[in-house]
Amino acid sequence: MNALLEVAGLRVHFPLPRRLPWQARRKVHAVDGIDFTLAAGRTLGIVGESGSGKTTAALAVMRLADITAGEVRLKGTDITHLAGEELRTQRRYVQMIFQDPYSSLNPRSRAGAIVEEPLARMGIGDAAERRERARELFAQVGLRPDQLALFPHQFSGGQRQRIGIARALATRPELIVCDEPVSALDVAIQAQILNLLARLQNQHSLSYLFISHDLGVVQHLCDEVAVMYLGRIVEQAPRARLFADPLHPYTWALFSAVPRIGRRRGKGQQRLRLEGDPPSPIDLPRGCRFAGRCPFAEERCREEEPALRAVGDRHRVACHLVREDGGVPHRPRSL
Amino acid sequence: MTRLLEVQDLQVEFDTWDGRVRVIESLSFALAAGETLCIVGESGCGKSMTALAIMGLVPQPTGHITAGSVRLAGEDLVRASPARMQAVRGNEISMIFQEPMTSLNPVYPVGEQIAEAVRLHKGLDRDAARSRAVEMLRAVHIPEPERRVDEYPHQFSGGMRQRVMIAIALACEPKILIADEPTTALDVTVQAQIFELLVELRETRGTAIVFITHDVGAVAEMADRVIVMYAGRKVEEGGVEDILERPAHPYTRGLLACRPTLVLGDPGARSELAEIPGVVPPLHQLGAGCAFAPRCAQALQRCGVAAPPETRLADGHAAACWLLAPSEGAAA
Repeated sequence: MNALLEVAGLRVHFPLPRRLPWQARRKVHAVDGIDFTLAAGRTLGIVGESGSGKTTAALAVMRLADITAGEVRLKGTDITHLAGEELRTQRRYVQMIFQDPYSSLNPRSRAGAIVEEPLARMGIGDAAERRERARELFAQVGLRPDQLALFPHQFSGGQRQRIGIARALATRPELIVCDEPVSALDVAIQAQILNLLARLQNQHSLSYLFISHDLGVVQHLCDEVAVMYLGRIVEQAPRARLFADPLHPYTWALFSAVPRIGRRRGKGQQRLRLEGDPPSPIDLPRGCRFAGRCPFAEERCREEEPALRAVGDRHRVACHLVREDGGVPHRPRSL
Repeated sequence: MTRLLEVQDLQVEFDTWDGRVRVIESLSFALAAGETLCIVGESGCGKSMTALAIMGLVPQPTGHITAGSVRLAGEDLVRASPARMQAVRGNEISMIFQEPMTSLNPVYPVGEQIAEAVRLHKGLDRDAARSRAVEMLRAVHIPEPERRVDEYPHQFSGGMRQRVMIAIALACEPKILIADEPTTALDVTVQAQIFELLVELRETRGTAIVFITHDVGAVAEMADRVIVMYAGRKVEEGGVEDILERPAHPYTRGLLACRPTLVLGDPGARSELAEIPGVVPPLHQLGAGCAFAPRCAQALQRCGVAAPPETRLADGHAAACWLLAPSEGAAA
């Protein structure tokens, strides 16, 4: 396997202001020790609820959040501590698509200039070549050349996201970090953008690190999926495996909570219910972070934090209750 | 079943820079006591405006209800006086909104905000209103209601705030609760809790619910009956099974097909999603024909010329599409 992106022991902690001068500084454990690798041409999905650290993990990979510990390797190069020109060179290979197509485009720039900007910043090509590249990218993402001269407010949400995608493609990156790229769009438009992302991936053999809270979207687009809870990966597996045989109680609860057309209420389906909200990422509980909400938690779960361990072919889970062979003592009858 | 609310030929228009725009076009539907009716559609389809029109909250002075009626147990709310509407809102019909963060007043304790509604509408005194607030917080499953009644909105999580909103809305035991995308801002596990709560409250209190959403998954979860709206018009109406299993209108079919739904078990190979091409047209550019025709793969010549009539397909299931009209049905 040819790893394009390797993340090892990544931690991102945000310090909080001291309440009183003599108190110790507290911190938010946004990402608290995660490892994953992403092979070239593949898509890794990271799912989780708000506060799970999925976006912070994406920002750390982009070197847009300060990394507290651990390392991020891109094509074998450790980019964790790069700065200045060296970092800029690496940024050619990794670009990002943002969630909000409204605030992620400069309202005073014309669409063409927005797409050309990364090329200009990295000194790629001359002005004429850059203009030509923007024209080519517009065609690839399904926009018309005459729209190059328009301003962002003259586009619809879906079209703006297309501009964002064209900008991300400009430097011919190999990895694109997509942070909830469709969640701000209407359902009918989501399908258009998801199909576009899939098509571009095939054409340019791109790799995606795909951050989303929408399990339907993740299942549709990703080859492999990692589930995050409070800064940790609790389960990770290839797509077919995770959705057919989820092992972690949190993954069950997450799947169970998604409204599905095929499952109508009152048809004898038992929902695995979670009580309450996740604990604070500032004062983390001892033991398993999910134990407080887990219906199956035992004594050990509250004492000792479970490590993420392999239980099958590329299937990893962090739960004391899962046996070595991947068997589980409790299993909901149906999700 | 008794008809609690009857909307008849409702038409709402707005004054804009592009002239007068019709955002709701001859919309009719009825809501029975204790029923959950879902209104689905994309942004700009008029689903929220329908809710505001029922509540008498169409934004002034640009918005106007230009035709039609909204009858609550026989009384036309469109023609009701502002004072009468004030007595209806929060008392007979209540509404909860998408943003539980901005719908609560940050400077008053939540108990105060629940008590306000019952003091105004039911004339309870301070103590009685406060104990009603505690009772309502308990009903929406907020732990330690006696203590939390004095806390402020910022001390509650998003899901808890939406529970408080529901408590305010239901404090006066309204006959109808309008929920406008109540879980869009929430995480899925919290969303599941809110759905469960709404179903439970409907069952214990018999409140009819108008549930507005863009998510067909939520429809499957909540609805008895469904209205699908597009560009201010009702395109299809039916029981939840009719809509989800036998959708008739091309737009409804598109809406169901374009969403990647979670499949448990082996999801199979990745396939292309069905797309609805294009975007919802600006409302002032709609022609005389079917509003969906420019995006419809099956559009006939006639679709661009005249608006399709509503065709009855089965008991309680109807759609407005030329392909389904009796004379055209065979051709399609």
